[in-house]
Amino acid sequence: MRLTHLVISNLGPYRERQTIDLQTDISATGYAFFAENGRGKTTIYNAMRWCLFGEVRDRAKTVAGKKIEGSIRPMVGDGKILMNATAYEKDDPQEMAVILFAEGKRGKIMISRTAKSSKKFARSDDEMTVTLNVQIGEEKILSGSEAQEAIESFFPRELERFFFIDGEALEEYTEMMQESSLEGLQDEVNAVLGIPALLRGTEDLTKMSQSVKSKINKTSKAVKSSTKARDEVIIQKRKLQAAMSSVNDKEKQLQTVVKKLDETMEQMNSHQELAPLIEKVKSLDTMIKLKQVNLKEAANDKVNESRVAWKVLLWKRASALHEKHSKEHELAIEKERTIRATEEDIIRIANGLQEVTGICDKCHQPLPDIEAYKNKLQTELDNRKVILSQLKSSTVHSPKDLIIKLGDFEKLKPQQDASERITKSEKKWKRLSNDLENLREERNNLNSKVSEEAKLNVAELAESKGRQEALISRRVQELRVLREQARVEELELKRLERLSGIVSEDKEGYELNTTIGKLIVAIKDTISSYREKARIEVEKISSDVFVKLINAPDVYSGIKVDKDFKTQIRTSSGGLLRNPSTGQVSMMTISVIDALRKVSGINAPVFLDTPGRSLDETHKKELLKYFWMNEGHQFLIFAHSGEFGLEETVKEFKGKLAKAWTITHPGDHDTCFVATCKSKDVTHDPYGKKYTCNACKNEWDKRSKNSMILEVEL
Amino acid sequence: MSDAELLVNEFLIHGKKQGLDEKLLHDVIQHLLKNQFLPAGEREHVRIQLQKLIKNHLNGD
Repeated sequence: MRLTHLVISNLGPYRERQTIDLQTDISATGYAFFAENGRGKTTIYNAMRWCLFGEVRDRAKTVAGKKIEGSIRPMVGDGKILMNATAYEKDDPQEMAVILFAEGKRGKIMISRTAKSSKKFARSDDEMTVTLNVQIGEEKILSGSEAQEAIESFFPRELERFFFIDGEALEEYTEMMQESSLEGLQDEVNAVLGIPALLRGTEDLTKMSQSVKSKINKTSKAVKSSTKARDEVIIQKRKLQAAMSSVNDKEKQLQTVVKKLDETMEQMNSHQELAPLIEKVKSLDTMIKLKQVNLKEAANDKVNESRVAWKVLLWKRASALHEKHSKEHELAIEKERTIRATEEDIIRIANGLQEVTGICDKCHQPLPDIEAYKNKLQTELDNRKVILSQLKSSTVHSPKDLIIKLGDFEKLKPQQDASERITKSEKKWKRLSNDLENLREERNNLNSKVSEEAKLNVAELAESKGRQEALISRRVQELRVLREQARVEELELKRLERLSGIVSEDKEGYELNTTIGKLIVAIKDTISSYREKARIEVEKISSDVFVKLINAPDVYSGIKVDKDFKTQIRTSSGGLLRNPSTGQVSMMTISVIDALRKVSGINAPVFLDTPGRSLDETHKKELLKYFWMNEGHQFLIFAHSGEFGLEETVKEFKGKLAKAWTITHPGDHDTCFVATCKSKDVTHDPYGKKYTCNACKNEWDKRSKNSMILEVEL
Repeated sequence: MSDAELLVNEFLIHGKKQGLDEKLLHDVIQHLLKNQFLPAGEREHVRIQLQKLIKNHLNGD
């Protein structure tokens, strides 16, 4: 695959679209970019990686033999980003793109990867939408994962480090090839072998095997369960038979009792004519008992009521005397009242008599007959005194004495209805007594009609009937429990019979698993033999390259590559070089990288950033001499002026260098940099910021940091 | 070295050593080559087809 054009837009220091045309008429393989630091050499290198793989990883580090992957550089955001700073800060939408054009066995190839902000002023990669399109030959344009898959088919990601070689990271490669490395180049070697089919196939088959084994185990467990279940079925059948037998026994017992009950009922029917009489006697017995209780209560009432009967009898005689004393009491009170009134009259008349003056109180005239008036009053006074004397001399008891007597009488007085209650209780007792007597008589009459034997018989039958009915109820309950137990046993038997139905092992699963196992072994053996062939080839090619690069065939015979692809320099005497110099190790590393790339069979351009970083002058020149040939894959270097001088390199590698470019900032130029002009007639403004070519009118800003890629005329 | 034909031949040799049928080996390696660039997370259908392929072979189809 030959790269024909590379278009970069808004990446790193490249503002707007920059196109690098790699087409040339000559068959030389050398391409060189020359620039001072910070001009964007590595950006072109990274632009290719981003276009192909969608990410740019910082350099990996190897710590104690363990490789630690570098972090992915973000497209936008804080810190070091892929997008051009001005585009990131000012454009809306923010957009960056790399388009790669190439020619390969399948025709022209176009790979386009674009990242565009999905919102205004995106500040993280999550806010960017990346679009990938790939077209190979005349085939339809692929996009998304299909497009990525197409890229990987001709440029596996695992081989990235063999085509994008970072001169500054040669130590990392070297470390991986050292004896101390734990991981070595396992992934890379597998990728070089082009065996993702086998590697992924091993993973697929291993997963399938796990799944099949899981199923086999399940079946195996089921079979074991089945065998166990068959034994259990026999036991369960016995259990069920026992349960059914219990049910049958219980049913027989129930039937026996039911039969007995029927017999009892028949016997009871034979005594049907006596039954009402017996029932009547029973009823009378109950009634008699009730009456006896009532009679007892009535007798108690009668006794209680009779306790005041003497009062009733006594009062019949004492009531007249009580009445007499009551009247006397009333008279005595009246007499006392009359005495008090008479005494008051006597005092009033006596006072009137003493106070007579012979003058009228009203008209104050002398009375005509004063003596007659005085005599009248005296007579009246005398009469009152006679009456008083008569009243006081009469023999009537005092009211006080009479009150005491009446109190004594009251103690003998019964309650008002005492007599009625005594009569009533007496009557009630007599009535109940009569009733009881009647009932007894009636019962005796009935008893005389039914024999004692018949009564006994009927009573026994009734008792038997009750007992049998209770027994039947119990038997029915027991039967229900036994039937439920039998049903449970039957269900368990059915379950066990189902389990015992699985009788065969998963033969198909075993066969499948065996075949998968054999396929895994076959793949592993293939990888192993394939790796060994690759190792031999890598050892041969890397030795050839190393001898050419080191240019000392008398001292070094090549490179030893062991089974883990760890490498050491062989001396011409057949031994291994101890303590090689940094330059020697770097050349060995480059040799092995080149060998691995060749063995991979992938014909693609090689990008070498800062190629002379670890090499001395001699080795640097040998390096370019080896890689820049007249035919083969393109070899692009991105060199700092300290590594390779522009004019010197162009001159020394004339014919091998197909194209060369310088990468500069506008401020690097005091003369016109347009290829067709190059005029030195330039004016600048008073502040020295803006330059204008007087010949072609090209203008540039000295302060601009937007890099320019200018092709060098060879 | 990245030679598909060589890879298939090597696989057939090692597969036969395991007593596997050449047609099965051929079908398996072609299936794997066809899907070799599918990432691990998207290979469920590859495994299903592979298992079907092996089962069919075992059943003599």
